[in-house]
Amino acid sequence: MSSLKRTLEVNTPHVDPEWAQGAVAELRQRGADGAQIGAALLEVESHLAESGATAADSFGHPTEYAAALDLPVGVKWTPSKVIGAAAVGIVVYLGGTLAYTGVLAGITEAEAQLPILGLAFGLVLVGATAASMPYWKGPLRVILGTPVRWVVAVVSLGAVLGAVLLLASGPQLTLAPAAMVFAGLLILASLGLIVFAVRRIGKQPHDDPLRFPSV
Amino acid sequence: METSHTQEWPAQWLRGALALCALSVIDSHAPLHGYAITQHLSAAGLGSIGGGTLYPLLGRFERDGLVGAEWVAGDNGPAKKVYTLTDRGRERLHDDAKRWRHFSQTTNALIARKVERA
Repeated sequence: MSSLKRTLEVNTPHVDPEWAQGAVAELRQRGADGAQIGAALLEVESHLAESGATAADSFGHPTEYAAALDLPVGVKWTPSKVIGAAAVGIVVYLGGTLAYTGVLAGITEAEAQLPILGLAFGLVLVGATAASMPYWKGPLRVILGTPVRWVVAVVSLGAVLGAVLLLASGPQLTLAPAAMVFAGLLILASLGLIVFAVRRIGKQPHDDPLRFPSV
Repeated sequence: METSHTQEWPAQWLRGALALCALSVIDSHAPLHGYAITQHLSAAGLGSIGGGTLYPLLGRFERDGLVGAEWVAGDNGPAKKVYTLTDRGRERLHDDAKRWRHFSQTTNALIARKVERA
């Protein structure tokens, strides 16, 4: 018997295990943590223990019930998440810039060049921006409140990074356009594979077990 | 007019009135857990309210600061989450009850003649 089944059997014996597992799956997908899920299930258990009804009869389909709860879930920023966000931002910026520059150079039949200092500055700026995300909640709500503001913010950031690259002088990273495009796409593809692998083997339910309220 | 305690009302009607009725029940009988709230609503003539309807509503009340909640030991059973009205909830109940009374007077006047003819 899986540990989830055992946990449900012990803590929510009046809730049909299949129904409970359906609710757990939906709530996990929506980002609820173990404590929130445990509390939600215990309330179902408490209700059914008194009413004698089945979960399906009283609460409907588990997926729909879990959705209706509309639990407040948010990103809980941990140091590793902050570092991860910064790393992703940096890699996306690096790969994207290389690929874009290579494509542009190929189209204009010019040399593919990137100012190293400008690139480094851009990497630091993107990394710092991503690493500061835990503090954005308030300002972000204002800045990104509407789709128009989203577009303006993204375009503005792109303009700043582009200007840095255009205006920076000093040693240049020079590659054949095709090589620069290849390098950029390789970096982006590698990131994609890493993110995919991390999500597959990443946070497992045992990292955040169900926690039931205790009195 | 006779009111059957087991009468099931149209879902659209209940959707409009349930929040106000639930707040009223909690105000009158707090602290109350979810199943007890459904029992009071049923006894008052609202019919059977399923958990799938009530608990998301209670969750919204809690997030909006209209009710406070805490877990207490159950009598020979699982722990129960009991709800009480906050000052904000009492204010909301009072305001909405006033408005509902006006609303129901308006609708009653509109359909009065139809009911007499029936």
